[in-house]
Amino acid sequence: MSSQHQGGPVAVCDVRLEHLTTDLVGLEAYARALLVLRMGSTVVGQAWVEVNQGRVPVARIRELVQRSGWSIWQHMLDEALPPTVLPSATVVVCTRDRPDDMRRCLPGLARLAEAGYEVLVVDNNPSSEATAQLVAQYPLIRYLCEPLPGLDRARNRGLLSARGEIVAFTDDDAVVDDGWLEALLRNFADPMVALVTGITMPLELETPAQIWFEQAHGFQRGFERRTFELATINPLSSGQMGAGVNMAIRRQALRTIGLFDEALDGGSASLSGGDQEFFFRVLRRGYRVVYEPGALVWHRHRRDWPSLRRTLYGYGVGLYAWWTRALLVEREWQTLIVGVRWFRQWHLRNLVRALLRRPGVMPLDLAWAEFQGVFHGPGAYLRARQLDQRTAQILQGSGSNECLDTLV
Amino acid sequence: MSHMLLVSVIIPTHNRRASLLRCLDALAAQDMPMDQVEVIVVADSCHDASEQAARAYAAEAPFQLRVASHAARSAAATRNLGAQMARGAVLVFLDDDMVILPGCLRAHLHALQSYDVSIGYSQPIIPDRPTHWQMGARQWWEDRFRAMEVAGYRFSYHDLFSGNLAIHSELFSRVGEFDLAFAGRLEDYELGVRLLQTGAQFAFTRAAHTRHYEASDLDTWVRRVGYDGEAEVQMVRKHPALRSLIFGDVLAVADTVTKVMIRVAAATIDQGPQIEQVLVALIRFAEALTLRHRRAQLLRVARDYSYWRGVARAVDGGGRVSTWLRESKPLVLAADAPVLDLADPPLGGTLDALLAAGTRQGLRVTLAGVKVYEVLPHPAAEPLRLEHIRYLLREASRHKILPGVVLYMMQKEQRLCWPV
Repeated sequence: MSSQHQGGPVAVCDVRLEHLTTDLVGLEAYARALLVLRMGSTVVGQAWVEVNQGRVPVARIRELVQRSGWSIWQHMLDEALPPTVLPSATVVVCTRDRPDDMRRCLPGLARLAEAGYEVLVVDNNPSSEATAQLVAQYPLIRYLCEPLPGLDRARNRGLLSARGEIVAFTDDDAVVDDGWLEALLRNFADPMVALVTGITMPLELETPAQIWFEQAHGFQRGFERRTFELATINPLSSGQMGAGVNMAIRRQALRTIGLFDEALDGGSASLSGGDQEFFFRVLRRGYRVVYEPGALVWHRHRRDWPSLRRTLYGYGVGLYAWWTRALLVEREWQTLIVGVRWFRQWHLRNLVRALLRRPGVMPLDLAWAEFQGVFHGPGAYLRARQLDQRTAQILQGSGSNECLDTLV
Repeated sequence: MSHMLLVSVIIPTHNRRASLLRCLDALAAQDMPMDQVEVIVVADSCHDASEQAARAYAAEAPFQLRVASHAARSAAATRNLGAQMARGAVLVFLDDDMVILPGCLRAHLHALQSYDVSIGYSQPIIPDRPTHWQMGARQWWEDRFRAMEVAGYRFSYHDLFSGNLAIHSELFSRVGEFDLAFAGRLEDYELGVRLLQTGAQFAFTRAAHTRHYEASDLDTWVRRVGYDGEAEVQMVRKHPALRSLIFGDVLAVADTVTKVMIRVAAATIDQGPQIEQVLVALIRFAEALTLRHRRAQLLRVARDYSYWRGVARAVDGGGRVSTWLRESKPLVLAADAPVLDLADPPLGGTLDALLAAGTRQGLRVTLAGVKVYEVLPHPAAEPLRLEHIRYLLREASRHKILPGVVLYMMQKEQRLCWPV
């Protein structure tokens, strides 16, 4: 990890294996490249390679593809299956004061809108008209404004305003690929599936912060379709299943699962964890989750190091915030064991190893930020919840559960 | 009656007046010419005035509603009585805790134009705050229906569910009605065995959609598993060919824990209810502490214990159950079973003969002599068809390459194209 750390920017190359005939060229600005190996819309593998004089030879790629044999085989089997009737769907993008990212995100969404899907942009507590004006250029995309800050509030607003049977989410700092939505939707043929997550690859790897994040965390969860249920995964480690940047939810199941917890995630004191807590409840209510490597979204990771540090701090806070909720609200007693074990084996260990400067270790400032976050998590959640209740009182009875009754 | 009635809907009921009336209301909303539908409600040992409520309903019902009652305490006898009263060309068996959705009857009728038996989709509905067991039950049902839906699925006797089932009344009386020896459990599976032995073709009809309100829970289920054990012994007594299928490989694949469990269950037939209660309490305790792994283990123990106690009860008061199991021979593919070799594909006529033979003896699929897949003989499943083999190979391809290669060769029009 550390050797890759120093190398400067990394090119991200979308390699279509069906048309693999020539070398990859024009990469003079890079010393290394991340190859995203694809067949059709499915990502079947990835490879970090050296770039020589702006070129990655095709022979080298062929060599690397062999490791993806099994994923390719699974992809071919899927292709042989008869097509199924897809359910109706709504795409929701939540954004907050990021018109530059939105500008990149919108064309992909517009293509989906042209294909007949409903597309909603939920503008969360905006400080200017910029996003609204931007979206106005696309007449097929619906614009909604959620005045109260909070990513989970915006998500809930999207869920409650959507008309499709399935609601697919992506973020403003992401770009959806062709076939993304269809790949997600195919998995809903099983009535027990309430949530499908897709694969998320980096849009660019230009800065050390982006490269470190992709290698250490990333949003990619492997290159094979996997199905999760309560019998096969501990719901407290729901982060393994994917993230909110690329997910689709069966609206009908919300009656049992409930909405996103508005005391979690961006904009609240808990900073993150809203998606993972929702995933946890999907499993707890007896539904299945599918991870689908055919549904690809490109995500722009945070560019500068201080933002990355804040993100990691937020992960620490969010994780222990939603675990607090799991313990107190869902009475998931295992949280006590998992919470302590995870702290010892991840957060504490990372910090100690960073202090000892072991090879391949997390940078100290990041380890420290995440470590600190852990201690702020439970308190942050309780604070956010109190605030949330006060807001609910002010709004008098626009409680999400009542909205749910009208919804499903 | 000048013209033959099209459909007789038969609803057995037992002390569930409210849900019975809900069921009738839903029937009244079917998009069918109602003069072609009759509904027969048979009340079994009811003391909640179900029968009177149904008679009162008959006065306003848009369809002919006939009501009968007896005190048999047997779902099989109750359904048979309904079938005897029926005058329709098609029988549809519903349960009183089901709500039929629009188009259900028409979908059944449509399916019966090409098939002998139509198994409807009974969507399990559980409370908004379900118990663990209810969530598991929902998943079990949904998975069963989903499996049947896939093209090439080979139906067997345990796909026949008596709730939301449509069958030609002529076939039902020819095969013989539900066997009264199976009073409480598996009478539908037993009918399935006889239907399949006459070569009946099953279909799963998802458009024949009912909502099934799941009211049972863990403790009733544990008890029911015991009745299933009893009923399965009864089943193999009536159909000896099924003995190898159901009990043949139990001892071969069982771990030590299961073997001990079988002995314990046989030795504690009388104390069973108390032991089951303790196990259920432990499961609930593990659930409350969210010890999911432990709960799953305990659930398996409770299920196996109850099942083997039921088997032991039926086999002869216990004791001899292990011997009895040893005497049950596992299913094997005979050395001279028919072989389908894909490198040397047989001509159409030979293939038909191979498949017909494979129905009884099983089938070996090979590729230039290399074994790829084995279809074991099945005494109570649909006749083997090419689409069944395709389905089995497709499933096997998820784990091995060779079945996929065979599949490709069977579907020459698809090109196997490695990208690099």
